[in-house]
Amino acid sequence: MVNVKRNRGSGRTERDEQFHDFVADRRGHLFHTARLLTAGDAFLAEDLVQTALTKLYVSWAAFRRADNPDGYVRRVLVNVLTDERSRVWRRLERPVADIPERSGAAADDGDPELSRALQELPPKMRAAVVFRFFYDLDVAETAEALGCSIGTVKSQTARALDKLRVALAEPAAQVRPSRDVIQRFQQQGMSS
Amino acid sequence: MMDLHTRFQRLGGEIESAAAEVIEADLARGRRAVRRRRTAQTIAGSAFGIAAIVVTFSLTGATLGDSSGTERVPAVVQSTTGGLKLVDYSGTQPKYFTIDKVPEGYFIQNDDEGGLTIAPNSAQNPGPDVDPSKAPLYNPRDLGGKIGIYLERKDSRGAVSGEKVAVGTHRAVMHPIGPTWQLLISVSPDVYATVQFDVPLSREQMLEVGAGLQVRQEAIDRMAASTGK
Repeated sequence: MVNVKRNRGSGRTERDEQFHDFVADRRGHLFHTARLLTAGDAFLAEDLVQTALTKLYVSWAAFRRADNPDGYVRRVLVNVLTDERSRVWRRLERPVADIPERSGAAADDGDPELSRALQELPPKMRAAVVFRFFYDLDVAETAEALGCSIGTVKSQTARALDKLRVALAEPAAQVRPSRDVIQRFQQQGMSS
Repeated sequence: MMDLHTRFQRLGGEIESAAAEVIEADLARGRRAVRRRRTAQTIAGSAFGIAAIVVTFSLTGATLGDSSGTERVPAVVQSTTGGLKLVDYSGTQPKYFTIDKVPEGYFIQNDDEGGLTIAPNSAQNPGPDVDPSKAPLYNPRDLGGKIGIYLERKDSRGAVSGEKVAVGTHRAVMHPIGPTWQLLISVSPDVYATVQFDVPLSREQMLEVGAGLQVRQEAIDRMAASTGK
């Protein structure tokens, strides 16, 4: 149950205050994640963050009750990313002709080659590789964020790695997760 | 040699603190969303009371191209009092599409390679007290309360469930996403022209809008050759 008690000074509810503090603390991190999920496109990332934060505000009580708030937020981000009601994300599905090589603020990203490679991955596969190889989430945590099975995460990440290797035109050894992730993969029977 | 973690770190950019006005804008969006939700719930409750004008239709679980299917559920409310009237579209036709019908009082808000946004006329002239960047109605990429038309590759969706219908000479599938409806028109072996309705139109009206839609072959071919998702 959302507490709607109002702060007499500001006129804000307790939800407003909590949300404000959350955004102040976490928005930069959310944007960073969103930028990876959108293959480096800052405009899309900002849309993603705004939409996700709006959904969080609406469901604030559920978020506050969540056993794993970080996992809850990741799930919201992925849901928004793959939400078929929104055409925003379909900008990534670009025709081959007459479209700028890169969109939005991807032009000023720090790794245009990786940005292009990530654009070639379907959103959930992209999310899988980001959560596994950047945030070092284990397979179960990634599955929770993606709303899919552990087996799907394993197959998606393996395919993502293969695609990235090809797209980045680098030897397999150069497209690699961090040492910790490699060890986790090996422990879970999924050598990269 | 650089590992993926380092490259992701660089691609994601620096983590910056949110400015006060950005936080306030996030808060304002959240509050508006809650208000819209409450309003929608109120309207839905009112509409439920007008039993005489409520029509429901069933959906099948059929996949496009599959003639079998069993009837089941939900449920669009068609209200002759709250619904919109379709009129002939008399404005300039978009570059890649031709449309015959639009709801009365609606205009083409956005026309680009990605598709069309058909929005109420009230989206044309925000008042001086409106910040278009913060009001979804004025954002042509926001499809809330509007009709969106766009092309998409079939393989990006996988199997599609819904009511199998004919739209002109094309096969199509209708399905709901919450209160929103989508009409997926098969315009080629690889491409759907998707019409998304977040406006109060009846099933027949949605089909009429779909039947009046034509897509230039050039646009279909470009989408068929697209990559990614």
